[in-house]
Order: sequence, then C-alpha cells, then structure tokens
Amino acid sequence: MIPSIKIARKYALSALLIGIFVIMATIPGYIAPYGPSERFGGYQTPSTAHIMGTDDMGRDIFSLLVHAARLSLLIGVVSGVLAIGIGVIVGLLSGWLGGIWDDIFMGLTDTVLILPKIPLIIVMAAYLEPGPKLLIVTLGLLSWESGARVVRAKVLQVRTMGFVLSARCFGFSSAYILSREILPVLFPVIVPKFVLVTASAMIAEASLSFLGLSDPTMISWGVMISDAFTHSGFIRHMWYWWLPPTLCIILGVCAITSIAFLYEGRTRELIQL
Amino acid sequence: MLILHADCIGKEYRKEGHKDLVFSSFSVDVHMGETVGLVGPSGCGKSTCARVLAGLEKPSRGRVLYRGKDIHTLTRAEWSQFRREVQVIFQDPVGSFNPTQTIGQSMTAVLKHVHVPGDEHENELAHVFHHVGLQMEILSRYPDQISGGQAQRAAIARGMIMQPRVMILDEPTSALDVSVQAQILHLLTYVQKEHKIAYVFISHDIDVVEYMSHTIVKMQEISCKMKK
Amino acid sequence: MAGNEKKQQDNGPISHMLEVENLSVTFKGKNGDIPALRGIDLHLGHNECLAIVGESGCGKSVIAQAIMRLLPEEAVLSGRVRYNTRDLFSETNDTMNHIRGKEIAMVFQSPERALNPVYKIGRQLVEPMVMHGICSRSDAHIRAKKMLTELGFKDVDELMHFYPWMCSGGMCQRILFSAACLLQPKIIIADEPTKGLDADRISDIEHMLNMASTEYTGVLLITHDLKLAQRVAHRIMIMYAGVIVESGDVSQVFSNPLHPYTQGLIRSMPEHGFHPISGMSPALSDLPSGCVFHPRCKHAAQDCQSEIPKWKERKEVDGNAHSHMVRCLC
Repeated sequence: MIPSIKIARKYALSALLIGIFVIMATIPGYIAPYGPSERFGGYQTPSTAHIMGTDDMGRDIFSLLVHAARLSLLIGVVSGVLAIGIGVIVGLLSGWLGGIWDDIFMGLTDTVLILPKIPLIIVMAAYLEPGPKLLIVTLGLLSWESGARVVRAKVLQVRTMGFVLSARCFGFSSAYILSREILPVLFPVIVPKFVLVTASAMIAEASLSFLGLSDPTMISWGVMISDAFTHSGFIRHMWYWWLPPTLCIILGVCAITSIAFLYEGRTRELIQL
Repeated sequence: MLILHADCIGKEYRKEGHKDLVFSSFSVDVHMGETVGLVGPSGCGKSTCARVLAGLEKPSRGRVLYRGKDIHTLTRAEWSQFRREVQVIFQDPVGSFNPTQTIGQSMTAVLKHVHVPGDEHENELAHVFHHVGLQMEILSRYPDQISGGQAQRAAIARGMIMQPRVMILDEPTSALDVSVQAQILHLLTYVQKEHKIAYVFISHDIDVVEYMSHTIVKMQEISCKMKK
Repeated sequence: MAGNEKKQQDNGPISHMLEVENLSVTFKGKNGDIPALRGIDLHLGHNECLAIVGESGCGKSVIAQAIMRLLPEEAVLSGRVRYNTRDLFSETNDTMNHIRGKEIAMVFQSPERALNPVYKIGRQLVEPMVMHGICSRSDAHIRAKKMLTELGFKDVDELMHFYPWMCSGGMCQRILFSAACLLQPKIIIADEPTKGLDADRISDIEHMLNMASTEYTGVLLITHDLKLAQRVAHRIMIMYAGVIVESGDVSQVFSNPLHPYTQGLIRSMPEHGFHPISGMSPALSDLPSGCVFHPRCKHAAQDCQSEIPKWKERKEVDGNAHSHMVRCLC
C-alpha cells in the first residue's frame, strides 16, 4: 500500500492540473465570470473586474482562457483517440495476418511516416475551410503511424508466445484472440502512445493557430496567443494576455505526459514481455 | 487404433529469398492411448514439428492425418472437433497463461468456449483441479505468482477441460526442477491411464523420453529417421 | 597471520580462500520480510569445486550475490564473508570493485545479456585485462586467443571479431567464462552456467569448470542440475528453502544421502526412476516452523515441527578427511 500512496503523491500535481483543465472544459460557464463573447472596453489592464484584463476586442481574458480549454483539450484527445484507434487496428492486423498484408500495411505506415505533417496541414488549411473538425481529422489521420509500428512489433513478439498458441489450440477465433488475449497485453504500449499523440496534437493545434491557419473565430489557447501576437499584445507588454494560455498549454502537455510515464512504469513491472 | 499420423511432413521457411529447411520427410504414427517420444538436439525442428502436428502451422510438404483425414482439408465441424481433441502443452508453463488474466479467468474462458453453463464452472474446475492436484486458491492468482510446477499442472488441467484424445507435450518438463519434473511425469502417466489419451512427448532429454514413451522417434538435424 | 596459520591447521592441508560464516539475508518487502538465506556456512579452498544445489526459489543465487555484495539495498545482511584475510562486508566499495573480477569473478546465468551486444567479442575479452592492469593490449590479445583455443573454439581469429548476438547461448557462456578466467581470479562463482543449454553444450561447460578448478582457482558452482554437480564438483551442498540441509563430498552425498530431501532429490532423477517428492517447496515468505522440510518429510516426528535441526556430523568409515554433515533430527 505504501508505494501506491507514494506514486499518488508524486503525480498528484499532474492529476490536479488535469482535473482542473477537465472541469474548465466541461463547465466553463460556472467558472468564467463572463461569457466568451461578452465585450467590455479593449486593452484593459488587470483589475478586480477583469483579473487578467481584456483583449483588443474587449473580451475578458480569464473567461476566454477558461472557455478555450474545451477546444484545446478536445482537439488533442479526439485526434489522439482517432490516431491510436487506426494505429492499433493497422498494427494488430499487420502483425497477426503477416505475409502480404504485413507488407501492405507497413508500406502504408511508412508512407504516412515520411509525410511532413505541419506543412501538409498548412496546404490543406489553405484549400479547405479551416476549423476544429479539419484539425482533428488531419492530425488524427497523420499521427497513427508510430502507434501502428509499436503495436505491430509487440504483436509479432506476443503471437509466438505460449498463451497465444494455447488459445489457438483451444480453437478460439482470431477476433477473440486479438481482442481478449493480445489487446490487454498491449495496453502498456498503447496508453503512453495515446497520451503522447494527444499532447503533440495539442501543440500542433497551438502552432497552427499561432500561424493563423485555423478558424480565427474559434476559441482555443493557440488562437489566444495568436491574437495577442497579431493584435499588439506583445508591443503593449500585455504579458497577462499571452502568458496564461502559453502556461496552460505547457502545463497541460507536461501533466498528460507525466501520467503516461506513470502508467508505463507501473505496467512494466507487471508484464515483462 | 491409429489416431494421428504424419506422412512424410517437411517444413521450410522463406527467409530473405532463399528457403530454410527446418525438417523434412518426417513420419510418425500416434496410436490411441499410447505415447510416442520425439527426441533430438535443439535446433532440429522439434518444436516446429509439434506446431505442425497440432495444426498450428501448415507443413510445406506431406500431410498430417487425424482419424484418417488431412487436417488442412477438414470441414468446419471436423476442424473444431480436431481443435478440441488435440491439445498442446508448451515448454514455458508460466508463459502459456495470459499475464494480464488470473488463472481463473484463463480457465473460465476455455469453459465458456466449450459451452459449459456458468453455474457448472465451479464444479468443473474443482474436478479438473482435484485431478491434477492443485488447490482452488490458485484460481485467483496471476501466472507470475505461481511456481512453474503449479503453472504446468494448471496448463494440463486447462487442456483436460477439452477432453482431448491427443496431447502434444512440447518439452513439458524442461523448465522445471528435478523433483517437480518427476511429479509432472507421474501426473501425465496417471492422466493417460485414466483417460486413454495419446501423447506425443517431445524432449531433448533421452532419459525422460525413454521413461514416458511406448515408441521413440529420433530427430536429427534436417534428416529424421525412425528407430525402434 | 597467526590466526590464519591456526585455521589451516584446524582444517587440515587445505587452506580456505573463501569462508562464509552464519550468513543470513532478509529482503525487506512491502508484505513483510522475506528470509532468503538463513545461517549459511561454507568454505572454499584452492583448486576446489564446491557445488551448491537447490531448486528454483531456494535462494541459492542470493549466496553468490551476497558474497559479491551485489544485493539491492532492501536486503539486510548478517554474518561474515571472509576472503583470505579480508572481511568482505567491511570493505569499501572501491576495494570491492577491485576484488570483483580480479580476485573473485562471477559468471552469470543468461550469458547473452551479460555480454554487451555493441562490442566485439575480442574487445570484451581484452579490455578488462588492460583495465585491471594485468598485461599490455597486444599481450592480452594473445592470451585471449590462447584461452579461446583451450576452450575448444576453432577459427579463434574470426571469433574475436564477432558480436555477441552472432553467437549461440552456449558460445556466449564459454566466452563469458573465458573472460572471467583471463583475469586470473582466485575464485570463480558460476551461477547456473548451464541454464537453458543442450546436453552437448552442458558438456562444454563441464569441461570448462573442470579446467578452471584444476588449473586456475576455486570454483563455486551454483546449479539446479544434480548430475552436473556430481560430475564436476568435489564437495556438494544441498539447499532447501534458504537453508543448507546437507554438505559433504560428492561421492558420500550421492552414495549415502542423509537428509530426506537429498534422498528425495536423488530418487527424482531419471536413473533412479523419477520418484517424486510429495508436496511443493514452500514460498520463502511463508516458511514452515522447525525443520523447513518437515511438511514433505516421510520421517517427520513431533520434534521436527518445533525444533530447528543443528548440524550433525557423520563419520564415514573409509577414513576420509572431509566431513559429511546433515541438518536433520533423525
């Protein structure tokens, strides 16, 4: 029991941060003092009414920060789920079926691997209507390859192990073996991968927004930094405008990644493959 | 009565363009209730041979016949009968259980698979566990929490649920200590006597094979001959 | 020095290089303490091979690690390990680093992992010799090749340029062994050197162990393989659940086993008809009271459940100088 408490304490900060972000994302209306589109006087310095001041359009920066959590996290998590979903399916099939299927799936994976992601999204954003959906789909569709590779490698290793051979001897179907026998063993590699993809999607979203390549009307931390940059937040030394969203992104990514390492470390001891 | 028969089987793998021969023209007859011992040095393809006999891999040449029929041309019903009646016990006893499941979960999965109703699981497990000399408390443990001997007993118990006619034992005692090896060999002899199961006993240890087998087949690298 | 001489007189002509007295090791665990070793006494002389035989989980590898001071921090040690005139438990870490390899070498199980996969075999053999200042680099090359030839390798020049992953398990084990021998240690500790090897590979290892104990040093062989111990060792100790239960010359122990566990082990062997010992080895975390073997012992009496047996000596009729000891109340 003692070690589990120790671990909990070590990762309490990460868990707390993630908890706060999730609350911000789910019920922003209860935390933020104002709505995201309510307007006051522009470029106000922090005061009791607006603890982080207001931006160029007179919106309360603290309220924006709270409301932005939803989209930033959503883009990260949904594209993470999408990427890892595709990755696991491709990896499982590739490793399990082997032969020509392995060649086909791995060829596909290598192709995705060499695609330059950010430039590709920039080009796509220029032609298609930029928005959260496009970001999620493109980030998801372009970041599954590392997951697929790890999963395939693990499947190749596990498929010759006694318990998988036994399951085949008992006449279990391939679908059963893949989902019930192999998938649980893969969790220690899937979960960290999912978290890393999520974190990198959050960063990608911020970078694209900062470059002005996403929907300017959407509210995310990346867009906030971009606004501060383009609407003279930096020139006016309004650090309370760009610093909070930056910190949110950094802290969010750090918290998520540290949880991933926690999971990885614990399961390594349990399952030594 | 002849139950499992390998007819000049051979296996080769495609490896970087050229073919890598594992073993060739190997024949063996397995009779009901008897033990065939398979000995040879490591690297002579014993384990591959076990997987081919168990239908886990297709032979590159030759045929494996179960009750007179080529196992790779069986109908669906015949195949599922074959899968039920031919079981394999592997060398690494702990590795033959899924590390993420308790022994009980692994057992129950097999019981469900053979359509044993849920309320009979307890009875059935108590029956097979008593048979192989295991305590029921093992059921709640994970594979890495039990000893090699216990895991091998549990693996035999799990195989018994299927009521097999043939058991292919691939080095079942090589990972075990001497005294545990003796226990498992005795258990296997007892199970065979009770249920008239045919064994294919594969080992590198000639003493063990001689002790267990009615007939012995020696495998050598590449070429395999019949003896005795 | 005087004490040393006295010791030699006490124990006859063989002086003991390594002496372990009342060694106990306890692992502090989250679910209570685990006594891995209790009251181990052993000694090893020049040109002698001592085998410690026990089944998996009996704690035999812990002896080697305790002697080498390689145990993790949660292990609590008591007792004494003496190497020549030194008390190994009171030496500094720097001295221990010097003793390890140069004075006492260890050959681990799973040799593939003990060799570094990114360096060539030649380098891994030569480098330690140069590092410990035994000889010059060119000299080291010659010695390494000579050693490999002695161990039965052909094409030694080619082998020196191989990487460990190009060699089989048996080859790696022999290479590891020669790396240990090349440092000319006084003692070699071989921990399960035959684990996972074929019969013919085992005979290579056997040859090496014989060579090591006659030509170079004292060998402490830790194994589960009774037959190997019978063929290679001079003296044998049988270990069960963290305790040594019987100790004596190989011929004595095999011809006239005294402890019921030893008798059971020998009867489990193929040539004695695979008669199993009933029951299972206890977990070290849950040991029976009194004699650790009593729940499985056919001759167990009331006393066995409460009293921990002390060493008893059996005088052999053939007038052999070495003693045959057993820990049994019978």
